[in-house]
This record gives sequence, structure tokens and C-alpha cells, in this order.
Amino acid sequence: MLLDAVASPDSTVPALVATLPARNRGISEPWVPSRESSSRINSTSSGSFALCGLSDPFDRDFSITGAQPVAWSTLTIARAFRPAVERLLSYTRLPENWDNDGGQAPRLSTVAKAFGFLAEIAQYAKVPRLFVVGDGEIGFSWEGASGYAQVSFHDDSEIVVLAKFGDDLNVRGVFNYDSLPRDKVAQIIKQL
Amino acid sequence: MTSQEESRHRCPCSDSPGPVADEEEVVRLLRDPESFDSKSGALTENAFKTSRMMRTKIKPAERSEVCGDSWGESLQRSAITSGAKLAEMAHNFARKPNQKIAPLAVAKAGEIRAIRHEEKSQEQLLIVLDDGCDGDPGHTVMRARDGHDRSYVQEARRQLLKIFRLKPLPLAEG
Repeated sequence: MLLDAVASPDSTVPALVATLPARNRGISEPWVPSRESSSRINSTSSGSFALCGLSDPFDRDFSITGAQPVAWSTLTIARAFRPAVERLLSYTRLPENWDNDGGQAPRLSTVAKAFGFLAEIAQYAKVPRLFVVGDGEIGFSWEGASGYAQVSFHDDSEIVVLAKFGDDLNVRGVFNYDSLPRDKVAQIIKQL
Repeated sequence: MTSQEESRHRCPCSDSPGPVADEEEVVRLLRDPESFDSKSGALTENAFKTSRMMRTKIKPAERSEVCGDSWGESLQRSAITSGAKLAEMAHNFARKPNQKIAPLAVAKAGEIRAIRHEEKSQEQLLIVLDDGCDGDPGHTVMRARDGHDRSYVQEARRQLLKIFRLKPLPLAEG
């Protein structure tokens, strides 16, 4: 197993723990969430993404249910997002200098935040185009006739949003995971 | 750096061809698949790293202003660098296994300089500076102007991906 993603109570911020990719073997402690976690999803090195005990959750919609259903949310990601999830997780396996231009792989914490966001927007958005940049940035992009949205996660915890729809809806700025204006961003993404 | 200073900027090397004029075509080398997606035929965001244009990851002590090695994203001036040299550079640029040579991405320096701050239309976001040196007189660097946060530089990158056009690789000599 390469990676575990663990759902947090509000099902928005997963943590990545367990076996780290080779490039991170020097790190003694895995990155863990500040909040208590439950319900784990496994991702194998082949990129398949499965619930514990289920061989292929994408045979049906992917879901996580907490061990304590009263306290824990359920997260459902549409099957159409499977390639995006796999692509996102593949970023953890990028080697040093992956682009032959000094490229560094995104940090696991960046991938985790991006995964949390992907899980959120999978509830209402079309599948975004994903991109990765050699300075550790992970981005999601949508383009439409009347607008666009780009949400980028940087390895210093900054989240950059460029989103516009028509003349009235516009979000631009540098945020963090907590200050991200989710409602306004969702309002735009839903229309793209 | 003001626009006037930018238009006059020339590196001190004796071989410097001088300031980069607005009407000059500049070239960005690409790698397939890292900065060029052959399926969509488009540049990817990795063609222009915002941290490199903003020097956020370059320690102050390492921010070279030495000609040919100064900070920013590298471009080539097609009026100075020959087609054969560009082809050679493109081949050397994509030497890693699984990398393929990509077309060149070209734009006018003036188009890059015309990318503006959305709310302050007089504010230029990117500058293009002569960085020519012995052995590589066509080298140029593109940087974000100081004083703008990452969202503006990312917006500029979004525009760059639209401005740059693809051009087939010239034939290498021999």
C-alpha cells in the first residue's frame, strides 16, 4: 500500500498517512491531521482507490462511512471522478526533478488538501482538469463559455483562486484552507 | 522597474544584443508531456512556474543577476537565436526517458508586457528583460513585477497560456 487517505469528521480534509512514497522515506513521521480521524480509504501503488474491505469501490459510487455514524459524515464521490482522484494521487509518486527542470513533487499535505477539495466539489461540479507544476502546485481548472475557475494548492499552504462567471461573479485571491470562500467558489464552479 | 527602464534594460555583456523590443518574438522551450500536452495540443501550467517568476523559492543570496543566469523564466529571442540553435536546445531540453520534443511556444514581447492587472489596467504584471551572454546572446528572462500577490501572477500565467502560440520546431543543422 502506498497511501492511505483518512476522512476527517467533516469529510472535507483527508489526511495522508501510512507508507510514504520512496522520495519521502527520510521523513520519520508521516503527516497527520490535526483533527481526529476515522474511516480510511486505501490507495494502492497501482493507483486504484478502494475502501477497506472492498476491492473496487468504483464498481459503485465511492463512499466512506465512519465507524461512528452519528458523529461522522459520509463522503460520496461520483465514479466519473475516479480518473481525477487517481491522477491526483499519482502526484505523490513524482520523483525529484520529475520534469527535468528541477521539478519537485507536491507535498503530501498539499495533496491531502487538494483531495479534500476534490471530494467537496465532486458533489456538485463537473470533473476538472488537473495540473501539477514543478514548484509543488496542484491545480484544478474549469473553462466555460461564460467563465472560468482555477483553484491551486501550493506547498506553502496558500490556495489561489481565480474564478469568474459573467459580469457579476468574481473571486480572486490567496487563501488558506479555512478562509477559502467555498460558497462563492461553488457558485461559480457549478455553472461551468 | 518601470516600463521605460524595462524597455531600456540591457545586460552588461559585451555581446548583449540590447533591450528586448515589444515587436520581438520570444520563444519558450517545452517538454512533452511536462509542459506541453500533445493530446490537447496545448501548453500546460508547468510551462511557467509562478514561483520562478516571483522568485519565491529562490533565496535572496541565490538570486543571480549575472547575464545568462539571472532569475525568472527563460525565453529566447528568435531574432537572435538561430532556428538551428533553437532546434538543438529543444532536443537537449527533452532528453529524459519518456520525454518527447515539443513544438516551440512563441509570443511577442509586447503581448507579454500587455498583460495587465484586472482592476488597475495601467499596471503591467510581467516584464521581459535582456539576459544575453556569451554563448547565449538570445537569452531573455520573464519575471513578475514586484508588488503583486500570487493570484495576479497566476492570472498572468493564465493569460500566457493563451498568448503563446505553437510553432513547429525548425530543422536542426546536419
